[in-house]
Amino acid sequence: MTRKEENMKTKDNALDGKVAIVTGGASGIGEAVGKIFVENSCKVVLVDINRDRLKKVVEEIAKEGSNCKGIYADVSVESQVKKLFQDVVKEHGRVDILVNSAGRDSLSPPITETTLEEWEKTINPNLKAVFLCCREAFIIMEKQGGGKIINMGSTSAKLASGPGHSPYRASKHGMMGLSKNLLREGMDKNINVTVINPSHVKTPMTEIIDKGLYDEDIPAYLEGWLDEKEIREGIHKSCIDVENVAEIVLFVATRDSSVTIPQIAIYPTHKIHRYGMEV
Amino acid sequence: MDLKLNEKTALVTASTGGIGLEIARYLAHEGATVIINGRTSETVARACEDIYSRYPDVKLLQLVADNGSAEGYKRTIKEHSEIDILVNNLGIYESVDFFDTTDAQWQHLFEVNVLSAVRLSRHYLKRMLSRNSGRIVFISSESAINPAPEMAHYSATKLMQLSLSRSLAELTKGTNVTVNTIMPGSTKTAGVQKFIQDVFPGVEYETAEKRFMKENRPTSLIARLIRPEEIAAFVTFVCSPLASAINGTCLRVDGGLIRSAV
Repeated sequence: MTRKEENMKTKDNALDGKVAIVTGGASGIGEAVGKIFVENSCKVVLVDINRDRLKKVVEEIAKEGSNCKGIYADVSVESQVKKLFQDVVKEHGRVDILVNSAGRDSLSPPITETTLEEWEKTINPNLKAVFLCCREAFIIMEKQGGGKIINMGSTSAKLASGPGHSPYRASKHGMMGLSKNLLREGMDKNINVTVINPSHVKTPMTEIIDKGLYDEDIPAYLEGWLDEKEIREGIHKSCIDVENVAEIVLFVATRDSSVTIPQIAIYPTHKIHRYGMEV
Repeated sequence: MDLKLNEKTALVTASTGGIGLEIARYLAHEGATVIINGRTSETVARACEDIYSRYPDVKLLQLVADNGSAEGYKRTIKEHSEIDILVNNLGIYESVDFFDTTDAQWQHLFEVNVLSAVRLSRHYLKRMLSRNSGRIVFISSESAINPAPEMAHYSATKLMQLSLSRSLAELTKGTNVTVNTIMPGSTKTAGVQKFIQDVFPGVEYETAEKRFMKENRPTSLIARLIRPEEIAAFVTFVCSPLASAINGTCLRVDGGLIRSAV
């Protein structure tokens, strides 16, 4: 057992009796959140569009006595989101926690080369889906007297430092704006909204970036932006582990509702200099 | 045949009974997420249970809204802004002497049978066109081109649907969206069964139906009422991506009732 796993075990029943929906639950941060929530006695519904991976992850997580289920849904489609929440309420009667972790990165080039298709492919899962899920969650949480919404952002929700990448950064900035607004809307309804903005997390998503960058030549527009270590080793290798993020999600999910944490930023320590005073 | 409806979302208006319920059942069984629509939560819940009892794994959503009114329409588009398939099934009829039919009755039939579909199409067709994908199907009636004098207002609204459907289809030119109309003949719904029983009081139902077909629908080639599932199966195909070359047309599922070569 690694040190990380030991840490998780110490928390046990922090979410006993709670029901959580975790989108993008079949991999990366969503998967890690699912694991740590289940270990803390939460009833977890993992949602993903990757059926095979979802099935595998649920089988792995669903140990004896734990309550974990996978639901296939494209959270950027309105009817599928409605069906998802309807099914969860039918089974569990409530939704205490929503973690919006589904998303995609977009290795898009500078704006003149970015297609509308690429824009929509990124905005839909990263922003539209968050809107759709938050809307359903608000309806349910208002009725039951409260709940917690945790949206996975990115450093890109606040910074726009590199060339290219506009659909992704716009989607994360948009998600941040939506979340800020929901803070106020949730205030009188006992609904807490938190955005977690991690930088460089080791997930299949960042792995794809590496493949995009290193299987082929580095695109010219990125020259001078990546540091030497990243060029040599790949971004993925120097990223932080998903468990670090999941622990913080658990921390937020277990706070008293009288306290709201609007944002948390997470950086790999060795990259902190990159962000300087803007951290 | 895989109708490729798995990722599609369909709204069938007035789908708590009759042909609408059967269309919803077929679409759901083929994998579509189907929005079950009716005017009360009781009828909508009952329709869902009815479908679940035969197909427990289908995907259904509930929509309580009277789409015959502007208010109901607003509720519909608020709850479901995006769909892939719209089946304009909502329609009402009543048997009234022409000279006794009031302005209000004409206007009510127009509102429910035509304007409801106009409103929904205005919202959903626009989105379908921008996505370059979608299906709109109007459920008309053979009464459209075979008007029934005891239901002049009903027949008129059913013919209007044909015109509207073709006008909307014209707007789909060059896209993957289609708009079509289905004209069912007399179909064995609870309403029609009651109507036949009322025409022949005291006669056993099977005999009453045979007499009704012989005396009132003599041109029917199948010489029986159409079963709702016979309409539903065809509508489901028209809603499928496989029906991509069927556009701007009026399709008869009337058991050969209309004596016409084309």
